[in-house]
Amino acid sequence: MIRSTISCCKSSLLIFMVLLTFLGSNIYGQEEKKSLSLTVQYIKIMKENSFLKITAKFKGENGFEPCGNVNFTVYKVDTTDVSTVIKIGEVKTNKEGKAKFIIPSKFKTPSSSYAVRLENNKTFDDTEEIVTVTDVNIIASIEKIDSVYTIKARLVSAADTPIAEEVLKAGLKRLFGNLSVGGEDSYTTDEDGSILVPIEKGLTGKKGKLNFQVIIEESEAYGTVIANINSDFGVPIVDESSFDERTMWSPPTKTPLFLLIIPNVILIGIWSILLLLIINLFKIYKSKN
Amino acid sequence: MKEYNKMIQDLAPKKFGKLGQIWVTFLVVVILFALYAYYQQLDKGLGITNMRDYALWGVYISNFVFFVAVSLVGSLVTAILRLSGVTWSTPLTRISEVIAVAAIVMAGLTIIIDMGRPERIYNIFLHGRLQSPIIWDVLVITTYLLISLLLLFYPLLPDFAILKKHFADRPKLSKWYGKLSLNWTGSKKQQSIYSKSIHTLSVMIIPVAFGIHTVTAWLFATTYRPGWDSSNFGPYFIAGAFVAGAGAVVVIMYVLRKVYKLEAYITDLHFDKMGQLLVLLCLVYIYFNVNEYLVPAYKTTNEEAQHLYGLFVGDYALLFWSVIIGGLVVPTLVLLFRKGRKPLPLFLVGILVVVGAWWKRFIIVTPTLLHPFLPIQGVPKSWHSYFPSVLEWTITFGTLASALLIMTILFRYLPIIPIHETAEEKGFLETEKTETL
Repeated sequence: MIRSTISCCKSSLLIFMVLLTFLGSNIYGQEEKKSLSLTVQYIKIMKENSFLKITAKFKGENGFEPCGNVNFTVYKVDTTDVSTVIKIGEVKTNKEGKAKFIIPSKFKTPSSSYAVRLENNKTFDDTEEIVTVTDVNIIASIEKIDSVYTIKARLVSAADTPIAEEVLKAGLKRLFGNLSVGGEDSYTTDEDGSILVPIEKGLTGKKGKLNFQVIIEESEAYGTVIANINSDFGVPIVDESSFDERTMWSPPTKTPLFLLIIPNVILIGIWSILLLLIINLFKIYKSKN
Repeated sequence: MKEYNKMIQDLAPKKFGKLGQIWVTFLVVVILFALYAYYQQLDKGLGITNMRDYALWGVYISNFVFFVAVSLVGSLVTAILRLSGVTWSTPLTRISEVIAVAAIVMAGLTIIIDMGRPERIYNIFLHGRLQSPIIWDVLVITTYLLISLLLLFYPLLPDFAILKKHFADRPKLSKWYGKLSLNWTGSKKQQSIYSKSIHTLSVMIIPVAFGIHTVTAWLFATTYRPGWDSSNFGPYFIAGAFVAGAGAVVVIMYVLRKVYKLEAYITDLHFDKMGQLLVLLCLVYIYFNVNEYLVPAYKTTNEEAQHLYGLFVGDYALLFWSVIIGGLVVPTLVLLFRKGRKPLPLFLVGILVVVGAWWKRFIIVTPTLLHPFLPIQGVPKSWHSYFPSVLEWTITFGTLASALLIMTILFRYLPIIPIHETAEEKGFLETEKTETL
């Protein structure tokens, strides 16, 4: 009796341990999804397009790491009823965790909301980020006022109503950012929604071409709006590189001619004489009588 | 005829005595130690030296400049004195030519020793830029080496023919001397080619010798650093080279005279004349030194002042004043007196001059490197000073021993004093011809 009880206990313990092992491994094998940090910026480039700039990161072992190769779905949200959404497209992030989604023109309205969602991803939690913007335009041009080139920019709504008291920036596009022009960091629009930015003389550009930008930067209401103005009144950059010239710091193929000719003439002269002197040794050898 | 035969007997190469064998063994041992040290350097890299970011040139480059300097003596004694019509220098020409060849060979090898990756040396020839003074140095050293070899070999032709006859009882040796004499019989045609060739070499070696040391000076002067930024560096180096070379000749001629009992050929007159030449060269070199140190000291720009302070009263003061006073001023004062130009005092002065000349190169190279215009950031404090490591010293002594070994071997198989020329000057050859007739 006692023996059968012990045997029963042993079998129960074995079953319990096997179950525990399987259950435990199952619990252990279920990886937790990571949370994602999503940033969405609305950017409008005048006369070109509007797009959403999406940046996704997650907190990894080495701090924030880019969340690359992940698909996001973009929806247009009804501004009156947030629960009504229309899917307008999908976009995948690159290695740096960034993506650019160009908004189709048919989905643009004077006031729009866009939702960017991460849905049903194996690694990351579902995430959503909504941006709401009012469509505005910057009409910019360059005019000569009192013989000074001046940027004239006007900020208006989609219905062409001027927008006052809004901060705009004016700059000259350079390789790593904008060079501010006019002496101020930013300009506030007047009642007519306009700003005037005088341009300093002597700005340089390739073949005199200058690309100015008037920008509303990361406005809560309007997002980022950029107007480009191209001009050609800059001072042309003269290429002063001596890369193709024969200089003292060039590679051997571009040695200055005087350094190539003079030492070689001297060397050839000396070595020719030395060769003759060696030939003289043969002559001595051959002329014993 | 008897006198002629006695002269050949006196001047023909002789086997090493016991002292000679000990000397060669000693040199070989030093060289073996140096080879071991160099193996360490090849294996572990230049990290085994004390050269770092500041002192990127150290004892090897000082030693290289010293060898180049000493090699100039070939052009001084053989070419300049020969072309000036000086006859007393005849017994010294072979000595100076041998010194020149040994020194220039070791100069070339020392540069390779200074390289971290010597197996990549072919890149100098593949990718060398003529804009770089280092390439000029490579070209001029190679040229000078060939000229020095030819200037040593040409005057040996008649001597080899004499030795072929002299060693007739030793067929193997005689055969070698015969081969090296290039069938020299002293025929009119041979004499004519021989004289013209030696004259051409004597003329040619002077500009090339000036070139080699000027270019070596430009390695420094074309680098913008306190102590080197001088348009005077070329002549300053040449003047110093003649002092070092003349000092080396004085020391070696004294030793050879003693060992091979050449008192009848290298006389007190030769010591007196070499003494006079050396004092003149020392005075010229002192003049250049005054120029080199006085002008920057007068201007006292920050960096130059720091550099000169280090030399005059700072870390290098003892070495600097020892070199200037011991290696230049004292020799000059001693040599101004006739008694100072006697063989033994001149020999001692010669040693002072040669040792001073070696250290002079060290204080030209190192202190300047420790005071760059742009201080090097983030390096340990120990890198701000430099003194060679034990392995560096071993390798350096090895190169000096190698130069001495080359000289010893050449003096073993070549007549130290030109036999043919001496016989010609003493009129023995005329007598021999008459007697033959």
